[in-house]
Amino acid sequence: MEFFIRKGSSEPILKMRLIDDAKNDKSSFNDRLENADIRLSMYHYETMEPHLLNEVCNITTRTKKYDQTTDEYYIVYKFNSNQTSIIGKYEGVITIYFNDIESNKLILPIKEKLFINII
Amino acid sequence: MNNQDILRSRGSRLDLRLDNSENNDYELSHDNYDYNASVIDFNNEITYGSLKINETLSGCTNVRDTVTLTEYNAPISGYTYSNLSFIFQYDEFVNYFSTTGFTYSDLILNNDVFTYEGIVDEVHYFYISNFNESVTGTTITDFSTTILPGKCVFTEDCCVQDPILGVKPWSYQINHGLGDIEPKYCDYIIDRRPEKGWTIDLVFNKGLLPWSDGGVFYYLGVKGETDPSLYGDNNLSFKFSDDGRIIWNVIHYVTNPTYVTTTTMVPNYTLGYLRYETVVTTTCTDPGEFIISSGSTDVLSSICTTDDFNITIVFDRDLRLTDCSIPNVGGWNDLIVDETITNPWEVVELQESPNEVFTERLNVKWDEERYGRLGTLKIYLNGRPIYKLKNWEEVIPSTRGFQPFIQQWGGGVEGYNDIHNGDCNFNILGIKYFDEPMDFVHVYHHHITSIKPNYNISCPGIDLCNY
Repeated sequence: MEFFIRKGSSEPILKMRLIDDAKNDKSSFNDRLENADIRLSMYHYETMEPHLLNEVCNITTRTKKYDQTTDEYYIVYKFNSNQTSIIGKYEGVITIYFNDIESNKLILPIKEKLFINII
Repeated sequence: MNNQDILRSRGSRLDLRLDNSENNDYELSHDNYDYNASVIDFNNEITYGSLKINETLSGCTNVRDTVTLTEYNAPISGYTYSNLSFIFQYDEFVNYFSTTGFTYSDLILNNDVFTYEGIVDEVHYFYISNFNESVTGTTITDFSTTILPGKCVFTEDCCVQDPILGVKPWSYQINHGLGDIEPKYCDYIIDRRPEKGWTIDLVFNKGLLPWSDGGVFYYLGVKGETDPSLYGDNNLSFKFSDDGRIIWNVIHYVTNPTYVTTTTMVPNYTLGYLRYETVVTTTCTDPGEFIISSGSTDVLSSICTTDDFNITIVFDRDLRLTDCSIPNVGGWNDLIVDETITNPWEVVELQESPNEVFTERLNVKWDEERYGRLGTLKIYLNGRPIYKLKNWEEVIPSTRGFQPFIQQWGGGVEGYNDIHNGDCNFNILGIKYFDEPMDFVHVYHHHITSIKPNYNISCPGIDLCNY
């Protein structure tokens, strides 16, 4: 997955959504997300030097097209101009720390890597 | 979520667990217009149209020593306004209006209207304008014991919200908002049942007081009722326990009360001629069985309750109901067992509009439609969740008995086997009621943008509070 943002820009926001492939239970996952801390780290693609470490991500609601459907939430991160000041390709890692069960976390994305390109 | 940490115990043993985390994978979303941008803007508050109550009880006392009555300049033709004012001892005042069958202190509201007949050939109307002023020594016996239902009986304007007057608890009738003169065009101040749920938000400062002084801080339901068939499913309170938990209490009914209805013909001579009228009398012969439904959070974090702290309670019904579904699906229409037209003769002979009175009672249909009242109850401390209960049954105040159904802040009510008793002695700095359920995203945003900047919340960065 490739995310692109211009050097020195804070837009667009990085927005991640749960893959809705009917294998998961969105409702119960939302319950766990409710009491979780979510952090973003960014590492340089080649050197693997950290560029951002444990920056706080936020959650926002996805606009519903139909009522009575299960709520959907996005994990979002808004960069500031300092964070996008150096052009390069970075690997992004999002870690969800679930507070309902101690020492339990989920590292995202799982199957496909997230690359953040500052251009 | 499962995990695997083979280095735990210095790698001496494998920690194998079934891992299904790949089912919760994430992907980039490229749609820039399908999300709520306002909840991630932590520099600006959100203006909620659903915010119905936004007050403070800061500095309010729990003591009512005296009550001040001030004359109401009623917009009635020929009314003689004399700017009268009286101050009475509160106990004497409520005892005067108490009568067989009810204690007036259980149902007094700040916008009650009182009738004074102490001046010959004149009637004056009074309202409660203050508490705890010095007594002037006037006797109360010139007041009629008939209490009018609210100031709005004299005006086409909408009823005013009951003033707080510096005293806790503060209560008001939920659906008290219609003007009394037709057409009734005002919206209710607080709906009896919102479309999806509700949110209450409070900011406390307990100071050095122990948790045992916390008491009941919120009550919803019928006020001061002692008959279980009338208060069953008609009461809800939240309070602090002695060890610092938040406890909710409801008395639900589990078996139907039994009623016996008798019909008699009664002669009526008031029209100048004999007319027999049907009088239906219903007596509750078996009140049925009731249970106290209750739950509590864990002990609240002492770090986060040292200074001001924010409690948010959300009820989110499983079903969103609109229009006619609100009273029909698990709503108060299921409680209606009888409909009486109180002016049948006038309807037939004088073509007047029928005056319909509905009788609401606990019954089988109310029980069968319980699914329509189920939802999730959530409690948050400083914007973070601390309690969640699914399949929690909503409380819908119903018209049973003659007590008003109210929403009350800062104290409890008498009756109900004393489970809702007790006033909150903590300083209640802010109270809010939204007639929609906030999800956790909005609760957090509201806390960060509307509560934290305006109060001394000591929870450092809130992330440091480990719930």
